[in-house]
Amino acid sequence: MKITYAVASAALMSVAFVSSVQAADTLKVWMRYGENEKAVLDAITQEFSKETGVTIDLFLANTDFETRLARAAAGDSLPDMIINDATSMGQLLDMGIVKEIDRASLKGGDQLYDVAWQSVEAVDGKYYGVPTSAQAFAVFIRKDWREKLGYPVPKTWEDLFNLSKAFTEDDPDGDGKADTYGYVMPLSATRGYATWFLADLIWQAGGKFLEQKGAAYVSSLDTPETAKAISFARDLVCKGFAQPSAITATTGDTTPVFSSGQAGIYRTGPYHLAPLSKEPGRAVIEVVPPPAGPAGQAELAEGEAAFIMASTRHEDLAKKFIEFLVSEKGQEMGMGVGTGSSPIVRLSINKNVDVTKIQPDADWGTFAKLYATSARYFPRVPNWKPIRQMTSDGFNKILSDCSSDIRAGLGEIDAAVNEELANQGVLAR
Amino acid sequence: MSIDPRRWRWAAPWLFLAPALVFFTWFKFVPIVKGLIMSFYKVKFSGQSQWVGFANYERALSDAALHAAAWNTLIYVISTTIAGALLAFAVALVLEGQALHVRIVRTAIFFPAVTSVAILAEVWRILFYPAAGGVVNSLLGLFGVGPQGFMSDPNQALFVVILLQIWKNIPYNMVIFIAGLAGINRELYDAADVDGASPLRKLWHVTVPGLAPAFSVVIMLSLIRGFRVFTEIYTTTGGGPAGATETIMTNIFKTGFDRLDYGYAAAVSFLLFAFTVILTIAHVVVKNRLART
Amino acid sequence: MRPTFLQKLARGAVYLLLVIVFCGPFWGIVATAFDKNTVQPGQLVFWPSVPTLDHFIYGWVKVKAWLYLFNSLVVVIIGTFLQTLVSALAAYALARKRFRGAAVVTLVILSTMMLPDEVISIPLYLILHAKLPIIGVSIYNSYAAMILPIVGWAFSVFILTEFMRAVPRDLEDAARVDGAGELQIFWRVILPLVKPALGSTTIFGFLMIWDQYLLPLIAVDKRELYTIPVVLRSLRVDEILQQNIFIAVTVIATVPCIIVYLLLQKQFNRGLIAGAVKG
Repeated sequence: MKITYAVASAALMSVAFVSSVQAADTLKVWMRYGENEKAVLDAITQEFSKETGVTIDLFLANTDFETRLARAAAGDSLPDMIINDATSMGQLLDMGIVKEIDRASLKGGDQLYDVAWQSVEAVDGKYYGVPTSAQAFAVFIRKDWREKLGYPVPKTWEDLFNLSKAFTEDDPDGDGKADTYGYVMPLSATRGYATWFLADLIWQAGGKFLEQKGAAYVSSLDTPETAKAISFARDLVCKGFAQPSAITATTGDTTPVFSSGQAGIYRTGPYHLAPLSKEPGRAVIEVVPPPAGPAGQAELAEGEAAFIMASTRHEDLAKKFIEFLVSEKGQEMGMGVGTGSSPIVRLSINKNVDVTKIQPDADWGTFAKLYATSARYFPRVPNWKPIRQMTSDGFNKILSDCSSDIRAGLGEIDAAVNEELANQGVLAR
Repeated sequence: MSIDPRRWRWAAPWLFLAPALVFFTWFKFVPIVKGLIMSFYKVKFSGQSQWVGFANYERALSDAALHAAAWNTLIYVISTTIAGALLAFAVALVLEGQALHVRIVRTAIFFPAVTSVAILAEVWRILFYPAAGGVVNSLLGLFGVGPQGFMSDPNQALFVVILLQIWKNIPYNMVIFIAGLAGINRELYDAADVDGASPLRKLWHVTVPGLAPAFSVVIMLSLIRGFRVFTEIYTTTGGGPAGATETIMTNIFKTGFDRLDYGYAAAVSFLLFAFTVILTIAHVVVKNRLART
Repeated sequence: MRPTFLQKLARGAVYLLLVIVFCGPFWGIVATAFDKNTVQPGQLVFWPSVPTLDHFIYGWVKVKAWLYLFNSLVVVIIGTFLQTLVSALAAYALARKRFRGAAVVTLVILSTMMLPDEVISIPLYLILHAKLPIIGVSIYNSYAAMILPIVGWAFSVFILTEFMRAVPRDLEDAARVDGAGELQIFWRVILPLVKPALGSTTIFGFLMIWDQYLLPLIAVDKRELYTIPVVLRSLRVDEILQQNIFIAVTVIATVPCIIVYLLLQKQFNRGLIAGAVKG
């Protein structure tokens, strides 16, 4: 016992009271990534240090990222820059902690896709971040199951529905037990997952979240189109063709459902190609464009962006690091080919980097093509996050009750969203 | 130079208290006061916060989402308290005594009480997984019951998280009841035997009154625990589905840390704090009344 | 009256049921952690079909469970020690001394027991960040930031006060006649007599500190200092990690609590009862 105390107090002494003195050329960076991306990021920061002599103090947090930021803002201890979802820009602006970026003066900035820049353009027409990665979503299917049951690759909602039904009812894994499901859906309201997932269906049905009127918006969910999309999803849930925990699932819960062979259809991003190739295995999965709805094909596009914190004293260093990240070299390194780690650059936002030439798996091309043709970003409002949360709460409520009135539910969401739009000062009269 | 020890005697207690007071002041009281002050502001995380007077408190009175959460909390508290007390009482009757095998069983059933809530929540999510192959659903299947939605079903979710709290509380409460049982005067039982009382009558007329203090403690503890329930919910359902398991604390947490509306979250917290204190005082008053009569 | 065979059988069945209900799930996660085959979400195995240590090894080495376990142990051992010491000192004053303000001090300390920690997390963060008076350094991002805030714990002050009050006066008086000072009386007379109570507060403190989630979350923004509960949460959202590995890490995180409980079981029950009966 005594020895334990001695060891412990020695450890305390050595670590506890060393306040982290920051050298002049150290850049403090926080990113919303986890341990799976660490190897790639370490490689990037080391390369950057070698080139510039700037050390990077990196902190990764894949949970409670915004909470940590808010506290750091309150405690005046923000890092110099962060990398986070591009959609978080509104909230960062709202908190007043993010610095404007001069798009023209960013070296290599003119080599980035315009559509990527748009994801960090605020309603005032200024840019408050730099896109570092983009992605679109596609549908992963258990090819072996589909072929065994003799179904074609789903091209329409109807195909998708039938395939989900078959995966649930026709024992695709052949173990004689009714233990498989069709479509894996994350429909929890937590962090807005329901909206993040349902956006594809809503757009495929021809619905939209907001109607733009000049510089203002009005919520426009209560339409027959959106109702059709929600009803399609609810049918899958209520008939049992989605995984049973769909209604409380986040993506942390859904991926294991697909990878462990509990269900056979999963809509997700290209970052899952590598892990899903290991389990359930490359040979048994295929990646296809999202089946088209009544109004055609559409899917969500989103991305990550770097933001410089307003409180930084190292704006120039931060800019240098961002320039490195978006350069051809940085983007290529970010894809992490051969590192065994998950990529931080999914689809490059740099025009000169062709993901299909870098990523060995040809299905990266599927995602790149979708991004270039039919993918859409969430609407640009001052702060999308509260709206994402509200719509999620509302969708989750409708989907939880198999007999509720969908249009009435959508009407309620519209009312709440309009109130929020008014708060943000962009409600169309 | 000699110090007259008697002159400094008054200082002795304060010297012993000093370390505790330093820690409590710096890490508890100062934050509490700061939090209380923040509840009167619209907190901005950078720049000047804005004084709003009692607006945050007024908002709490008309916040429908908060009221729904308060209602769920009430259901949660009442059912965990009653079921937790009664079941623990029953278990205590079975496991009373000093025999080795009883002590072993008592030790064994204590595991949920000493395990982190975060881990218990994971265990619960696995056990109550809504697929037909989930652990509890498989067991129900043996009795011909079809697969249930559990935490994915808005009508069952609250019940399942209540069950988690009961599961964790039974061992705790049981120990208190067993101590209470050991304290009951044996002569009362003997007297009842002489009167030819049935076991049930003995239970009702001797055991239950003898355990009144134990019941009082068990109820008070679960009331306090219940009203501030957070981790149990946040890590299992996150308040869903459709808000079916939203409680006051999860509501506060989301307001404060997801929506970053910290001033309002602080105001609601202090309302909850005040309510718990009042409840505690009421409990003490009632207890003293009962003790006097 | 000796119980009949049937009664014995019924009793045995009830015991078995209790053990299954309260321990069964733990058995399930342990068995699953040792099973080579990947489980699907929501499934546990009763017995590992192909037993393996792989998940534990992966969890220990690759997920670095050892590091987080070490952090948790540093925090919990130093924290429990300081907490018990500080509480015992305070309890000595509150239980054995009559002085002006004693009632107020007790009341104020007790009131902190009712306050949910979440409420004060942001102000607490600001305080952890601020430079400490006198020393002039900030403890943010250090073990100290996870330890010092839990040193003051009303529950343990309260339990120790109750126990110290029960120590007879004459023992203290006798020591005083022999010329013992306050510290000696505290250390040589009172503390040894409340040893069982110290055991109780130690185990309660241990479990309370081990379970801390919010404090480590706000106290450190540095993965090398994460404790087990914080890491578990981050692993929970890790979509790539295999279920069995996550479960194995969960088992690793549970073991210390169970060991401490088994070692100090008697004191634990005594403390629970003392806290209860006197509350």
